[in-house]
Formats: sequence, structure tokens, C-alpha cells
Amino acid sequence: MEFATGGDMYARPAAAIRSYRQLLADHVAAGAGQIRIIGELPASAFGPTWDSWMRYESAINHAYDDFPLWSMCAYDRRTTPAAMLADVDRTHPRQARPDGTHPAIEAYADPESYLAGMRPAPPDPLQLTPPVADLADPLPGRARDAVRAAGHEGISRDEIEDLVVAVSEVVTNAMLYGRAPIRMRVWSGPDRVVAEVTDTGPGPKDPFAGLLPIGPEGPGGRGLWIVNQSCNHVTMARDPDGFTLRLTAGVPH
Amino acid sequence: MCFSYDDDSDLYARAQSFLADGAAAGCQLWWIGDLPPPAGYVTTAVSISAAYPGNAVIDPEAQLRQYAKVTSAAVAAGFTGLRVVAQATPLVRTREQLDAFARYELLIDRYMATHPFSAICAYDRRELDSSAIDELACLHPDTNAPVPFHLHGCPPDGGAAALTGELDMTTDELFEVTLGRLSFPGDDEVVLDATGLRFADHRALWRMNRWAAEHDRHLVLRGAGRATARVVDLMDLPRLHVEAIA
Repeated sequence: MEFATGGDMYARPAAAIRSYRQLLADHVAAGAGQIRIIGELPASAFGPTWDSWMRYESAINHAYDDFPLWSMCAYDRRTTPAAMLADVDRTHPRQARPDGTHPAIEAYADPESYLAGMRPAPPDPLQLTPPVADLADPLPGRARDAVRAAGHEGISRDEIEDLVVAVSEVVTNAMLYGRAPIRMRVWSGPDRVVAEVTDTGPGPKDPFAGLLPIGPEGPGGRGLWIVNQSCNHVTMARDPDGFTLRLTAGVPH
Repeated sequence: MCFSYDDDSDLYARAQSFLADGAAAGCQLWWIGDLPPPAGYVTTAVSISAAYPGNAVIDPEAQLRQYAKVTSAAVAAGFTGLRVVAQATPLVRTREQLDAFARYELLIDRYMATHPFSAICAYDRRELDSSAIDELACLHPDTNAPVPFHLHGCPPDGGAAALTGELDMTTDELFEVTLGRLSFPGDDEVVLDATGLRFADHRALWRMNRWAAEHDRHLVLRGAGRATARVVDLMDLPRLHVEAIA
């Protein structure tokens, strides 16, 4: 039996997948034939980053397929709001009942369809104010400079530099795989910097894009995964006008 | 420095101030090229087509020894050092010439960092395509052709070379070409002074790891930012190491 604290394991959804995959690989290498995990999301997941945690919950139905794993996610029905429990139903194939049975959940959606849905997260309140930068078709270098200029003393230099990395990769992806025009906006608040990049293409085809690691075969292809490892909150939205990624450094709202 | 020009008068203007500064500092002044030297300063003029007939491919080590010898002789003759304006266009017309010249640039940069030798390498934009100019410019610490990154020789205690500027999709091709020309003697780790490396995206980091694997070396980015260290760590690049700034 191994106990891991939620804060370490669940800092960011894609980082949790990376940590779990390493943990599982280590156990298998040590000879484990079967691994069982009971995990519980930390209180911080039940807030503005909820959408990304539900994407995580959906993705892990597939993300550990190559390991001999049975896993159970614990949710406290007394404190979890009904709307959130409905999301939990959509991302979990079975429910463990106190009587020992595991009936299928009717509302469950397989990860491919759930993740392809990309329901937009509510806007950060900062986004209702004028952005500090609004760039048309920026090259990655200009996008990086806009984020560097938006940094302030309320947010660490490391967090800004991680957002610089993320924004550069997102704008690169928009140029390589998306469709012009590309628009980038940046908002700066007391405890965070928010950057949003929209292109007029359909967004990534792979529903697991950014959540699962990709091998080291070629020079590119891991940008969105690095973005998800580097930002405290990443949202994706697709609408008739295009595809939008929103990245938050600092405290998500 | 690397100076590209498409009007001879621009070269003369830049060369004259460079030579005037050198004269004031007591340097011996050499003019290498097919244009006539500017009046007044130059002590030795060498025709480049005489020195390098046809599409001659430079021998990097021999060329370095030659300049070291001339620099020592200048100092022995009472000058403070050697200062050269070299019109190098005939030496970089072909891919093979460029490959050799790139290796020479790294050697001569390192020599310049520790010896009283300074030079302008002048390239005629009317005779070279812009990608060749960029490939040369990024190998010089100082250039009038704007390139987003530089990989140039540096003082030996700083590392094998210095990598500065920003690397991303816009520099991907140029960086690949530049890396492809790098070779360092020995079989130990290769340290790049990365204190001036402002940004490197994951493609560039992947390319550096691949270079190290292909040359059976380990590449160290000394003084790069912590965000670069985090991306390298995430990507699991076993041949690339970051010694990040504190």
C-alpha cells in the first residue's frame, strides 16, 4: 500500500497523468501484476479548473490502458454539487456501491466523444476587462514578448516564463496546424496572467491532444502536452468561428 | 563581425571606421578582397581571388594557424594586434564552402576572444542568397543582418561555443543547418554558454539532443533559464542537460 498526498499528485491534470504513468511503470518494473488505485481529487479541483479535471477523469479511462490497473475515484456526495456529480457520471463507466456491486452508469460517455465535446469553461472575470495586449497574427516571438510584458510582482518569474513557453507553443501550433487569422489576447490581474489564442481552424483532431505524452520520434508534436504541463489552467473551446485555447499562470478564476 | 552589403560604399563606410579605430589603437591593418583598399590606413592588401582561386574550400585549422601567425608577427613588430577586413564572398558560394567556413568561424571567434585579433567578414548580398547570409550571420556574435539566434565561438572558460537569442519555429531550419555544421574535438561533454539564450522551444531542444546523440556526446546548456530546464526535463532528452541560472 502506498499513500500519495493529493496536492503532489494533482497539481495539474496532465501532470497527474504523467506522475501516475511513472508510478505505474515503476510498480510494473518492480514486478507488480495488478495495481489498484483509489484516488480523490483535492478541494482545489472543485473550482474554476473543474472542466480540466473532468477532461482528466475522462482521459484516464484510456490513459493507463497499457498498465494492469484497476482504479476507483472517490467523490463525497455530501459536499459535491449535483451539477458536478453529473459530470462525474459522464466520465466514469461504473459506480461502486456500498453493497459491493458495480453497475454501469448510463450517462457515461466514452472519452473520445466526451473530450471531443470541448465544453467551454466560464470566462475568467479578467476577460471582461480590456486586454493588455491584443495581437493579430503574431509570430511566436511577439507572443512571448507580450506575455513577458504582462508579468508583474504578484506572480513569480518562473510562472511567467512557463507561460511564455506555453504561449509560444500554442501560437506555433496555430500557425502550423490551425488557420489564419490568429488572434492573441493577454489579460493581467493581481494574482494571474491569462492568455488566449484563437485561430479559425477546427482545433486538434485527437481528443487526447495535450493530455497524453507522445514519443520522441520527431522534432515537433509535443507542444500542447508541454502547454498542459506548464500552466495552472488550460481550457479548450471550439465553436463555428474557430478554436480557442486559454492559458492561466498564477491563480485560475 | 559579419557585415553584409549590397552597395560597395556601405562596405567602405563601415570598413573605414573599423580601420580608423584599429589605427588609433595601434593595430596592424589588413585588407583582404578584390575591391581596392580605402586610402590611408591599410598596411597590407591581399587579393582574395589570388589567395583562393576558384571555389576554394577553406581549411579551417590552416586558416586559423595563418591568422595566429600573422597576429604574432604584428605584435612582434610593435603593433598592438591585427585588424582585418575580409571580403569573404568567394569563399562561401557553395554548400561545401559554407560548411567549411562555418567551422572556421567557430575557431576564429574563439581565437579572437583571447588574442589581439579582430575582423570584419564582409559578404556581398548581390552574390549570395539570403539564406547563406543568415547561415553566416548566426555564426558571428555581432552582425548587421538581423538573425534571431547566434551560435559563435567564445572564450574557452565559457564553453565550447555560446548560444544566444531565441529559437522557435521561425528559426527551425536555420538552426538545423547550423547544428549540422557543428563539430567539437574530443569525446567528452560539450558545454554551450547559454546565458544569452532567451528562449528555446521544444523543437530546438529536441534537435540539440539529436545532435548530441548523433555525435555520441552530451550537450550542456550552461546558464539557460529555469523554464528551459523544466521543458528538457519534461521531454526526457537524455543527451541534453541544462545547468540553469539560480
